[in-house]
Amino acid sequence: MEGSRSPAATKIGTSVARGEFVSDAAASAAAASAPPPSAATPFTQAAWGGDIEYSREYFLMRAETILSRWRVPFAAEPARTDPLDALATFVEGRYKITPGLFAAARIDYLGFGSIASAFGTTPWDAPVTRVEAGGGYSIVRNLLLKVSYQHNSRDGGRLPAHENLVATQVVFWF
Amino acid sequence: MPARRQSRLQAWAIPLASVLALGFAAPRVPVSRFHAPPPPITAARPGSIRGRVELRRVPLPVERRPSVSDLGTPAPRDLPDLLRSVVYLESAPRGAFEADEGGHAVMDQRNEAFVPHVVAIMTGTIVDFPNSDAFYHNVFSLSKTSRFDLGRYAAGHSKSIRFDKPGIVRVFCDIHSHMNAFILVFSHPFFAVTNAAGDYGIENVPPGTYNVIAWNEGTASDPKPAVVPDGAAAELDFTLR
Repeated sequence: MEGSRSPAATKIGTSVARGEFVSDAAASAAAASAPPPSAATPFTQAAWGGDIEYSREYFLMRAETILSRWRVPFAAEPARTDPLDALATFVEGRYKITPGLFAAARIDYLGFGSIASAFGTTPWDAPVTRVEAGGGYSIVRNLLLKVSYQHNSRDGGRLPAHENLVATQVVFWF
Repeated sequence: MPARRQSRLQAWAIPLASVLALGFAAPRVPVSRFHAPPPPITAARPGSIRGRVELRRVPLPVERRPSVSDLGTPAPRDLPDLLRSVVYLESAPRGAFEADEGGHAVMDQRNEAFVPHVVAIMTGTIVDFPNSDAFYHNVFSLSKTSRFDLGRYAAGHSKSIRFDKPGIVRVFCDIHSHMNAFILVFSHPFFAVTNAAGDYGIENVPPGTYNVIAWNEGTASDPKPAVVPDGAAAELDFTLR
């Protein structure tokens, strides 16, 4: 029945990946000082992802998150057997204002799992948050001009805690 | 110039011009002809222009970009019919047709292709773009002739746009980059789309001499003259590329 059809589209996806990421030689050297929990769990990386897309006429929204976990072969002390975690997420939206002209915004987050250290339990790297807003104009179908403003926040580390960037981009595709 | 002198000059100039015109433009026409009753008026019967467009090289369709959906059961896809050409008069005889409000034409979206791939219409025509696929499409054009974006819409829905300016409109789908089509908008009705064999026929053309152009996938021929006889057909073939 035509009247009951939704004017919006939603797509949902998920993905899983797992594999070894170090050479046998490196794994053997690391195993000598920090053996993996079992022979069946060598130095592997696994990733779980999920994404969703929603669109309605001139509006499009996407969100995606990926959780990655891996064991790092430490060849020197302090050896570590617990895995490292990282979580990457973004949410973005785009709206077509006129034919060829759009505005868009995006929020990114990259977070890191915690590890035990001499200073207690802390994230193994500084989380980063990025907020970006911009727009684009297609002169012809395959020639796009983009301008965006980016605000980055980094909670710790040697880099500046806050940084702003303005970017312009010319995209030609064929 | 005084008004009296102007009127005298006009009084001389008009007969002189008439004599010169009669003397040089129609010296062999018997004088008595001008006094005879006018011949019976017979309306010129429209003719036609027919022929064939041969394509030396058929352009290849745009390759489809791989999609996640191809991993499962990929949706069927039709290839665009690139053999169709459009033949049209470069300019139309004045007063040879009556401008109307224009009708409706349909460019369907089916199996990830615009069907038909080429549509030729007159200005004022409304083109409907129904979505006959099970997934979303987003028809748009950034052509100078008509710049529009119909947004995303689902299967079973249709959106329309009216074309008021003559020219060539390139149509795309914002979701499926391999989908493309052409809409040729004319300010007169003297055009025809060829069949799969390349044959065409432009009907109801007033007798006269015209420049005719053949077009296929963005390539246009040089204008070729065609003499349309009274109530008969002129033959004109083209070779493109």
